[in-house]
Amino acid sequence: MENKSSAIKLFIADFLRVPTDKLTDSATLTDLVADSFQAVELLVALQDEFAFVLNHEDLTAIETLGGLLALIEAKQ
Amino acid sequence: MTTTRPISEDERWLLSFYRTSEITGALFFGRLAKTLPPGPIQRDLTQHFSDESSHASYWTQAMYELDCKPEKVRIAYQDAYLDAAGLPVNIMEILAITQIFERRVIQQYSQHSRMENVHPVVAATLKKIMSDERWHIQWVAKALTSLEPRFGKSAIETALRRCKEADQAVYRNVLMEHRERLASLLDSGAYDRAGIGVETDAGDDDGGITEWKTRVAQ
Repeated sequence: MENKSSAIKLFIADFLRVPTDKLTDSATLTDLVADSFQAVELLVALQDEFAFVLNHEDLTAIETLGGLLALIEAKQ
Repeated sequence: MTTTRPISEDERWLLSFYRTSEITGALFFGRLAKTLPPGPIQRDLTQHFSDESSHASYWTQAMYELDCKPEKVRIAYQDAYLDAAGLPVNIMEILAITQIFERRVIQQYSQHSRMENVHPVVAATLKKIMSDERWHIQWVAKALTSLEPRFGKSAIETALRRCKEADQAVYRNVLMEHRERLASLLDSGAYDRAGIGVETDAGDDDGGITEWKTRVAQ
């Protein structure tokens, strides 16, 4: 599980071009992405890379990276 | 009926608004085209990106030809869509919002082309763009069908309905917010004042579901 989270964080760091130490569980998603379009791009890329499906309702309660990682774990 | 009268400031704003929306669409689809895995959706979305980019160029060229330089429009129509409908989080939701948005674009352009005294340069640009926009609706409808096994028919219908509701709210808000600038359009009779936000040209009013199903059958 830890390995999967690390792999997802590495992917996000590479995608957003941010250092991995910025990707703490408490980091808010809105702070990590430059704009809404980048958020959409990232979510689509994550689903493609890690083979899961998110929907609109899934994200309504997610604010932090930790929340997103937990959601992805639950979806797989 | 067309005219060669000078372009008013309100029309300059409207053409700038169109131009900004086309640029925003091109940037969004371009970024997505880069991200998506290979396949028919990637292929068609890349063409869509190219079209939006061309449309932005057509509007820019038209405005220069009309000697009315583009105005900086801070917010694109798509931004308001994302605010109202929420962030699309997967490719199906992106295509659902695109389907609804493209229908709105065709309706808007079609209504504009029916205005009294449309400048021939504007009329020609609208006509050129509208033929591409029809293809956009077609490919997106087919792509949504291809995504049924992955996302389910019901989820696609739900997404289309949600986007449709957002579309009506956004369109109504835009018309209200810019009512002074759009007064000439409203007064031309191209818009039914009582029916603002109601589909008149794009056919069914069920959020694109009939459109999607019709395309599937073809």
